[in-house]
Amino acid sequence: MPDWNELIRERLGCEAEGAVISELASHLEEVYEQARAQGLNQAASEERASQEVSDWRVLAAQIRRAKGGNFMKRRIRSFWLPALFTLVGSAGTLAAGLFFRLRPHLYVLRDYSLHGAGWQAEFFLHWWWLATLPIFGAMGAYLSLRADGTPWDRLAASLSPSLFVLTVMCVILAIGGSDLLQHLGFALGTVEWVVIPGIASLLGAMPLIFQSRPSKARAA
Amino acid sequence: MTKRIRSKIARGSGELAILSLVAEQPLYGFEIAKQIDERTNGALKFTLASLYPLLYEMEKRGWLEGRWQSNEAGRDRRYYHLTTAGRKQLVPLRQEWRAFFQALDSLAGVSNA
Repeated sequence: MPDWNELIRERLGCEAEGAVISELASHLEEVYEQARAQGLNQAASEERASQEVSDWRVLAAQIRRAKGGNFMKRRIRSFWLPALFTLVGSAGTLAAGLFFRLRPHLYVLRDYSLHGAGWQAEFFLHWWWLATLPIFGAMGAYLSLRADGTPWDRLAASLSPSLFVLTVMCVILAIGGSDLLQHLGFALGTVEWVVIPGIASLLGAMPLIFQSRPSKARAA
Repeated sequence: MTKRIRSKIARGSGELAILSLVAEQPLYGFEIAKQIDERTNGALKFTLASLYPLLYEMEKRGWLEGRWQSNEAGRDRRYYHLTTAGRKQLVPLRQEWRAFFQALDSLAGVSNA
């Protein structure tokens, strides 16, 4: 039996969304299985399935037109809203923790002040905040999944706090110059605010990102 | 009859057929095509190419809502549910088609043909 997903992806082109590919592939699969159940051989069943579409380019254009108006709305629901929810939720939790004076843990990697440089390589970890990130990561991925988000949408939505901080840090680095201390500060800041929070978010989001089907939105 | 009018009639009848079926129970694409074929004794046929653009268009208008659900065999299918807007649309659509067939009947006597 042909790989219907692959066939549809090839014929419709790479811009076709995963949910459409899955849906059309399952339709062709049922046409094929119905033909087989009626006693047709493999080749004849494949031929019957292929008769479902006479011109793939026309179909691709029709689907694009039918779905086109929805694109921004879908993008907002599958990526921007879950990403915003994850970002606001995690930032709000951090702000609340700081407001209630929950202290971060300080890690000193190297104390340059002993050598007269007056600077130490250190970073803070807010363990209590990191512990909440898997929940926000999972919720971002879940909201994206529910809105038919692709695995990339789910991944990006769950990592939105880290991606946002990384963007801000890159802008600051680009504006602020490029001496060694700034590069070291950027590297430590990346570990502190991007890599470790990103890993924490991914821990929660991972099972939802790697769901086998690109869209599996359940009834609300 | 021009091609444009024929296409409009086919589209309108397809919309009515789909809304009427989905009003009874949520169905997925293949099942919609199969039921239309069976219940019209093959007079109306939907292929993948004619069905899904129409379903997506109706979904965009807010008449249908597609949701992924697993059936008893554990296979994921996108079931189309009739929305409130779709239910409201069904009434005037039925009236339009009834009026259309009555007009055609009075003109050409199609019901006695």
